[in-house]
Amino acid sequence: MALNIMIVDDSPVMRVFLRKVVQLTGLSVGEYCEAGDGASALKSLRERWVDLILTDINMPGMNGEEFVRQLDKDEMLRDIPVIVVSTDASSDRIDRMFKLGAKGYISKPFQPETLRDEVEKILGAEYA
Amino acid sequence: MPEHECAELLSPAVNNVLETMFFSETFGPGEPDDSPSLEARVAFSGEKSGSVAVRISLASARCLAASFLGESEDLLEDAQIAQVVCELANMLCGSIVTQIESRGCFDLGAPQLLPDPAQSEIAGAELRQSFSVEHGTLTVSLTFF
Repeated sequence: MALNIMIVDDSPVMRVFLRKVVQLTGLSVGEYCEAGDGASALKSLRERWVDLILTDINMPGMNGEEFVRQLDKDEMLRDIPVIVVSTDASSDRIDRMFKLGAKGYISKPFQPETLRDEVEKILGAEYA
Repeated sequence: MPEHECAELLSPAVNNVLETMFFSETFGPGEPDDSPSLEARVAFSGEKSGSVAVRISLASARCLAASFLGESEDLLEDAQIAQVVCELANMLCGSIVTQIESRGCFDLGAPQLLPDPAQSEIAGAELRQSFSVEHGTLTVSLTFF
């Protein structure tokens, strides 16, 4: 089953890189959509359905923490699984993001297999 | 963590980031030169505050950007190369600071490109290391405020 994936990152080159990594994992992807910050992502999510969100934390405007908090408050959006992709690998930050509602956490640098493993863990093997 | 131990964090972080995210590597110690280069820095704050800066030869930056984005070097725009150098600084900062503060949260600032050599942070940094990379040199510095 093809996944619709949203990538939320303020860095355009990081968004390109994440698309490339998703392709390398061999995941079947239907559509990608992208946003440069949490507020733009929330707006876009009210207009389209996605199966998975990959989000950065450090972004101008609405950052990743607030974005995940807002998603968790929204009945329509709270069930969309979120994987955080961040340079911050401190255990306190990881704990905090899981408490806010993230389902997975990948710290950069990472191998494509790490993303695939996280997706499989969250969505099940039939997607991976 | 004493400063000499912090300095030892730079080399593993550089190698890990280059190999994992840029499909590249270092070729041992490097010598900074006067060839055109790009410099970017990322500030961090937490239990300790400071910044990590990277300076990389333009030819090396173009090569890394092509690898990172999976594009031909000829098709890259200058802005993309600059963004990739900023992302390199961001990842190195996160990687280094995580080793310094493995438990406590820290905040990273937005990566800044330093187009003016007069703003160079690396030149005055006490903790810095240069690495030979494809087509040039990569220098990384760690500064505490």
